[in-house]
Formats: sequence, structure tokens, C-alpha cells
Amino acid sequence: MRQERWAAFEEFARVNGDSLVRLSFALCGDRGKAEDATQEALTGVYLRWGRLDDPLPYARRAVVNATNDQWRRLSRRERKERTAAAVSPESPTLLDEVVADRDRLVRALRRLPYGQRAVIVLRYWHELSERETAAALGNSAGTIKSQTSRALARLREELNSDLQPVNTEEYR
Amino acid sequence: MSESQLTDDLRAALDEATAGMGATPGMAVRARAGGRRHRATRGLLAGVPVLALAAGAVVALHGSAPASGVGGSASGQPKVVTAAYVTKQVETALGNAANYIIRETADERYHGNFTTLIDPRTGTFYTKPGEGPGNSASWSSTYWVSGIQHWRETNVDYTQGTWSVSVERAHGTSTPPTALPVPGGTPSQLSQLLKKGKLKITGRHADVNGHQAIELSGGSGFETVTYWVDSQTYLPVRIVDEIHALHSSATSTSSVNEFWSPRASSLVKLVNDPVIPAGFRQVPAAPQG
Repeated sequence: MRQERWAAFEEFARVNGDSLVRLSFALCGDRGKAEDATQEALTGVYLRWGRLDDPLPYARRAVVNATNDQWRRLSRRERKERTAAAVSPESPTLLDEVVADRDRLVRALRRLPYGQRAVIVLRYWHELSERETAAALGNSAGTIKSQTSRALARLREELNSDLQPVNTEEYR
Repeated sequence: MSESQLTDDLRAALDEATAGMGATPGMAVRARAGGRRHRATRGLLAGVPVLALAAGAVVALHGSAPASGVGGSASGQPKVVTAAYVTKQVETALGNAANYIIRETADERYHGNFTTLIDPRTGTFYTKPGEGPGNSASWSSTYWVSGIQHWRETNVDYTQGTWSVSVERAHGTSTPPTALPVPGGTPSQLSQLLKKGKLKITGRHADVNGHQAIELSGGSGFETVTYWVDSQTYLPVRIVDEIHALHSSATSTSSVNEFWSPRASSLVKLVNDPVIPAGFRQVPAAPQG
């Protein structure tokens, strides 16, 4: 019985592990932190394995929370350095204009407050419904709807001001 | 730029930024090793969202609590203490975890029964024979080498007459905890949960395994954790974890009973020293996922 349970969890981790790491990376921009957050989230899923009607929403929520915790654990200095790196004019120049635009988009995304960043990533990259996003973030579907609208507006503002100086304190 | 174009570009941008990225080998195995330890030592309260806890809230300890000690009253009348007082007492009690060996028994609706003994001083836990996979016993410990966390597990399979040792290591460096983990978190973590209102002192009490116990509770859309502490010693006596289904009203409950015993040499040895029966054959540990 336990071996079957373990096999099922292992399969879940195999199928969804990549996606969870990428989700975390999209939120924090640090591969090591993303792996740590995913490891922490999978541990939580394992603890509750067999008692979750659908483990994936729980896993997503755990990753979002663990990623936020990882970010908070960074010192103020580290946060500033990472934010500065994300907007530095000395960042590698990409010749391809399209690729450069995408790079700008990712940098703009990372300047959004964490909650707005998570909404955008889950709704438009993971293509979750409002209800699924709400489950992943622990909010109501109504809150997600309004958050999504605000997050998109903020993303546009960030894109427009991409080359302007950034208040790094806002990047939490 | 239209919204659909923006979101299309965003998808492409994130696909590109995360290309080639994925889970590291052994993540599932480490989750299992870590999960088993978390089950015993921490994490049940992780991620519990904020619940309001009014400053200065009071807890009434009713009924026939013994007359002596904290929480009781000579008259048998309810004794009222502040939430801050309970928080401090729980923190103090858990801060003395190093003086105990903890036995946990679980009665999980879906996972069957198990008994685990934990040494908070070393972080080692022992799962009794017949309660691991098949008829087996396991000893699991955590340690750090050059800042890298390692997990070591020794398994004895009494059915096969074999034993194995596996060692997993984290990918990155980390700092060993400065406080001893206990069920539900370190004393300071639990205290912070209480102070921040993430764990609410409900004011309810009950007899739990012969203890007059105070209920602490926190919850979210997914999960509610109820933590019962003895009203005399403030040590945990039961942790109840409820998982709520996402698309229905179904709830799955696990309940772990806690028994904290003063450290005795026989208990310390039982938890920390793997015993390999004579004649058992060593085999490779299960492959990593």
C-alpha cells in the first residue's frame, strides 16, 4: 500500500516537477531558489499525499508560497542587487529585437509586486482559470479577476518605464 | 499592444526564460525523506494563513482540571489566562524539547497507522518494525557537511532479511537550524505563528489522551491545523490536520498523538542506533527518482 502511494507520488513529481521549478523561477528569477522552493513544496505534497483530491493545485500554491518565502529570506542588500541586475543597462544585449522585447517583458514582470506577478504567471503562462488561480493563491475568484486587471495595467506601465530608474524598494 | 498580444508575448518570454530548466534528479526521493521528517518534526503548520487574533484575547480553562499547576484552579472554576501568557508558556515548553524523546502515533484515514520516535536533540527519528513499508524498520537522520544538508536513512527489511543505507544530499548550502525542531515547528516559529495570529487560540478545551488540553487552530481554503497543548505543561498532545477538497465539501483528516517522555538512555539508544539483526544481508538502497 505504501509502496503504491510512493510510486504515485514519484510519478506526480516526475510529471510536474519541471513545471513547478519553472513556475518558481518565473516568480523569483533565481534557479537555485526555484529548486529549493520546489523541493519544499514537493515535501509538503508528499506529507499530504493521498489526502488531496487533486495534488497539483496544492503543489502550485505551495510553490508560490515557498518562492515568496525564499525571496523574503534574502537580505535587503541581496534584493537590491538582484533588482538592479534585472534592470541594469549592462545586462547582456540581445541582437534579436523580438528576443530583446521578451527580455524587457520578463524584467518588467519581475518588478511587479509578488502577488501581481503570481497572478500574471498563473493566469497567462500556466493558463489557469480564475478559479484555479484563486485556489493556487488562496484568494477568491473575484479577487483574482480584479488583481489580474490591475496586474496587467501595472505590467504595461512597467514596460513603458523600462528604461527609467526603478525604485528598488518596491521590489519585495 | 493588445491584451492578447501582450499575454502571447509574455508566454513566449517565459517559455524562453525557463527553457531547459526543470526538476533536479532525486527531488521526489528528497521530498519523501524530508516529508517523513517534517511529518515528525515540523511543517504541519507551514503555510497556515493569517487569522485574526485579538490582542489580549483570553482563554478560559474550564472543568475539572487538577487544582495544582498552571491552568488549573483550586475551586474548579474556569481560570482565565491571556493569549500572550499561553504563547509564552508554549514557547517555553517547546524550548525544553531537548530534554525529551517524542513518540508520535498516527491514525490516518488513508495512510494507516504508524508510530515514530523522535530525538529532538539529534533530529533522528525511528519508525518501528512492521510499520514501515512491509515488515521493516527505519532510522532517519539529518546532518550538515560543509554547509550542505544530508539525509541518511537505514532500513531493515525483516521479511527479506536485508538492510540498506541511503544518503541524500541537498543541491545548495544551507544553515543548520539554531533551534531544535519539534512537531509543528521550532519553538520560535510556533510562537511567531501565535503572535502573528496565524494560529488562533480558540478558547476551547478537551480531554485529549488524559490531558486537559487547550486548542490552537489555523486554517486556509486547503487546510486546517488544530494543535492541542496540555494546559499544565503546554507540551503538545495532539495535532490534527484537515485537508479540504478543492471542488467538494469533502475533508480528509489525519490525527497525530504526541507523547513526550523524559530522555532515558534506552529510548535514546532505540531512536539513534540502528540495529541490524545477525545474518541480515546488505543490499543497495532503492534507486533515486
